[in-house]
Amino acid sequence: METWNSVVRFGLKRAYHYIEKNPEENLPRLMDWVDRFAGERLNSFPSQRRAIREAVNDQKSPMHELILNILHETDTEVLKEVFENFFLNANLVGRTRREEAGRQYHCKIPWAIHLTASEKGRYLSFDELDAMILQGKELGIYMYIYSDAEPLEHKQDLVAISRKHHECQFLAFTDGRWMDEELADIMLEVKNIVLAIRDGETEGTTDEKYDAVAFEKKGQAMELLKRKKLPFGIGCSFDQKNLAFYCSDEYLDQIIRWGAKFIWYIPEKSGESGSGMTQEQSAFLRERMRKIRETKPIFAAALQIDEEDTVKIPQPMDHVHCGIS
Amino acid sequence: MNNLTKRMIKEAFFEMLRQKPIDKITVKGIVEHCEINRQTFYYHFSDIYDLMQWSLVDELAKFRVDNPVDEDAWLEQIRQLFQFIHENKKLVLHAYDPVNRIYYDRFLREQISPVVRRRVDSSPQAERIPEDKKEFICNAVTIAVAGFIFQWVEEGVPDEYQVRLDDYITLFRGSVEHLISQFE
Repeated sequence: METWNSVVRFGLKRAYHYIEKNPEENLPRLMDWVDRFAGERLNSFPSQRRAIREAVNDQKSPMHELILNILHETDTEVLKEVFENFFLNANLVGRTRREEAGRQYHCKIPWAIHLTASEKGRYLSFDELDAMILQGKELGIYMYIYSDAEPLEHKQDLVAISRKHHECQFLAFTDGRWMDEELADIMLEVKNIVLAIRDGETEGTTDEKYDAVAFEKKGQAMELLKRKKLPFGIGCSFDQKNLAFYCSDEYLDQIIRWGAKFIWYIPEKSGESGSGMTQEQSAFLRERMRKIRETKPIFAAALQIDEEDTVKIPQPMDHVHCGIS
Repeated sequence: MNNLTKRMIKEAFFEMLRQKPIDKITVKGIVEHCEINRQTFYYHFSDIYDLMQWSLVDELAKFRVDNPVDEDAWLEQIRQLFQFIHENKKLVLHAYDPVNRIYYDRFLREQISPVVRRRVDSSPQAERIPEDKKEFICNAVTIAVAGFIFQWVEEGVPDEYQVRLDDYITLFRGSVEHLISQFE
């Protein structure tokens, strides 16, 4: 997606070489490469890169363990594609274009777009999704999230869109029941789809009432993803009653054992206040996420809810700033 | 079933490629020809060039089944690659453009490299040659073979290639043997 000149000049192929051959040993060299690539640009995420480099260098840090787990447990070709689409296109390269477009159109261009079915009460068609993403790429948006309904139910469309827009990164929230070997093999082929397995929708869950059987079924999807070396995480809906459980060490250790590399906390919208989170809970969640990043090899993030009760996608540095820089 | 659809798309593409160059072929044209929708095309291929790559590989595999060559006869396999290109001259030339050159390069390297590698690995001295030297031999000979093929394609795939091909084969055989003995 980047101009051929930049690719050759910065030696993207060399960067891939680092990922293929002994990634653990080559991590610092890979970070050098990222620094050289980012260095010439405005707004090149210096604090985020510093944070990642610190994790790379500090062998005792759980983030270091997370990075190594990702390197060892992810298919090499998928790793390369996620590196190019997520780190380079969606973040470094895309940001330049988004800021240009923002100045041109006098508005803030988001980092990612949610592709939702519910507005029209049906799934968006291939042509509708295609048109949206074409426009999105013009504005420098390379991150697309299927965040509601069940995107794997229409896997043909998901695969076709992902294949056509191979320079974009796709994240799909799913309950995992449509996951099968065939889809896993296609995901290894297209390489740019990451799944977030939904959890946390059981009402009034406490650790005693937690439905281990329901979780076991999701476990089968996660086991398949892990076996095929496809990266995935958890999309955790929580409410006031179960937040503590889903932030607990016991729960996190379980999902880490299953192979989850990230957990994205999403508050359930409540009818009265519209935001689903009190200030107290917000503070509790932030503190827990900070603690998780210091102690567990998993990346924790949260969706913010603003006063109009619309879900906004924060810039990635908002996640990384919170608790690291 | 997936391969049936892919082959149908491939046949339509080849039919169009016999009539016109690749830059005049569109996804719209192909889906209309096959009477499928765009989503079906993109389920299998990311774009026309992706289709072209897959089609070449598939067609070469078919050619190899119809013209079997001993797997150990690496020079015969290289010769077969030239033969394949010659027999599909029109397709290869119509699909050749500056954008596509990178895909041709990848296709050729992916076809040639394993053949050379097998030759290196099967030599009696293989165990005594370090891995990086084996990779070097493989890379050097692959680049040479691909380079000669590009030159030939850019000349329009002329018919009188058999004589030159014998010279190329002499070069490749000699290079591999010499390098193996040097790196032992």
